This record gives sequence, structure tokens and C-alpha cells, in this order.
Amino acid sequence: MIVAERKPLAEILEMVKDCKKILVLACRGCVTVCSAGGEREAEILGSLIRLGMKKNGRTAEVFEGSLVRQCDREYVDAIDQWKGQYDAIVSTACGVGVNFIANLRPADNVFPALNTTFLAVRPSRASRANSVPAAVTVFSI
Amino acid sequence: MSFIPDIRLFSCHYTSQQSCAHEGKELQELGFPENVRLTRVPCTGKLEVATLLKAFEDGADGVYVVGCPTDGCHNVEGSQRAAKRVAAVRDALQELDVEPERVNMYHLPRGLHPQFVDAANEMNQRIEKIGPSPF
Ligand code: SF4
Repeated sequence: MIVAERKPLAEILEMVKDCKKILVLACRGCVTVCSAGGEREAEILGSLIRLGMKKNGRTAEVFEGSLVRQCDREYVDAIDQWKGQYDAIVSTACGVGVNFIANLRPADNVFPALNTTFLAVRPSRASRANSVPAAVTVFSI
Repeated sequence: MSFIPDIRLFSCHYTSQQSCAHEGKELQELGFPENVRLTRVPCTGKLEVATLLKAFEDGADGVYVVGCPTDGCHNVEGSQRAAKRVAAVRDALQELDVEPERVNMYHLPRGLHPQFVDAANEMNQRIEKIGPSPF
């Protein structure tokens, strides 16, 4: 499970300031669960980018899409459905998803919209049932 | 410079039902400003942050929501959820360096009553003072 939060809007607007066609790409995995980067949050971010750019005297076509996960090759291939429609992807996935897309698509501009703040796994179902906090492996970054 | 603000109101069916009866004639007689455009929703809890932001994208200078009193919502927590989303829009406006007062939440009882009109006039005056939207 990964937890993330949106970067400050000014930072995101600075990244995309010269872009003309922006795909805000949601991830329907972990970041949907923590309400940071699912379809709902991507819709909000798309709106905020449009408003922010307009306020800064810039115009861009901003639209939203989503992938089941951004950390699996089979799902990342689905980006092809927007081929030619964007000159930048603003990903609302965690750092894993953003970097995976950037690696698979070196010709694309891929920008991260979130800061990944926490990741953790439960090593076994038994520990889950007993809720033993000591058995939870936690990585804080 | 004075201007006529474009104000969008989202109100729940229950709070605005009587106010909107007879095609809003009584509302007009009570002095409800003509530049406030009302959209009725089944419950304000159904409103999304994106819906309120879209109103600004659409040219609104000010946006406000009128829902049930917090302790007497027809759908229990609907108006409390709406208040949280309004607060999220305020934060977002602030991040964009735009006056957060351009968005507001009111909790009003059902029925045709002066507070419904007062809220509209208050928003109208507030936005007149702040000025046109920077978007
Ligand atoms: S890309 Fe990140 S947020 Fe999305 S499913 Fe994979 S690990 Fe979770």
C-alpha cells in the first residue's frame, strides 16, 4: 500500500507552463484508495491546471484519463489510446508509476503530480488477522 | 469599478423547494438578485469539488452552496460533506492566489425565508467588492 499527496499547485504549474496539450493521468490503484491520485483527484487537478494556466495568461488543452495501474506494463500500454493528443503527461500515480511510464516511454514528457509519502506491506495474512503492528514492514520516505 | 458579478448557487432540493415554487416569483419579490443562477441538486452531498471548480472555469465570479442545517440534513450528512468540499475549493483558490471568499457554504432551514435571499445578497455584495474573477 502506498500513500501520497498532491504537490503544491505552483510546482505543478511551473512544470507544465510551456505545454499545450496535457494528459492528467490517474491511477486506479493505491492512490485512489488514499484519495490522492484517482480519477476524482485527476479531474480536480485537471480543472486546477486549466484555471491556473488561464490566470497566468497561458492556454492549454487539459484532459483527464486513467489507468488501472501505472506500475504494470500491460496497463501502461493503454496510454496508446491517447496517442498524438498530448505533449505532456501529468501522472497522479506514486513515484513508481511515474518513473515506470517515463522509462517505458522515453520520448514522452512525464511529470509527477504527487509526492509519495509512505509505503508499507503486511508480510502475512496471519499478522493481519492478529493486527500485530510489530509484524508490519514499514518504509517511510 | 462596479460590475454585475456572475454568481452560481448550488442548493439542495429540500432547502430551495419552497423558494423555487411558483417559478420563483416570491423569491423575486423578496429581492433575490437576478445575477445569481441557481442549480438545484438532490442533495448538496452529491456536489463534487470538480463541479464547483467547473463553475469557475465556466466564468463564475463567485460560487456558493446552500444546504440543510448541519444537525438537520435530510440525508443526514449531506450538507456536512458539501461543507468539506467547499473548504477544499477555498484551499485550492488560495493555492492559486485567488480570494478564497469567492466560494462559500450556507446551512439554512427549509422553506421560503429571508435568509435564503440574505445569503444571495451577501454573496453578491462580497463579490462586487472583490471584483471580477481572475480566470
Ligand atoms: S503506480 Fe503506484 S499508486 Fe498506482 S498501483 Fe502502482 S504502486 Fe499503486
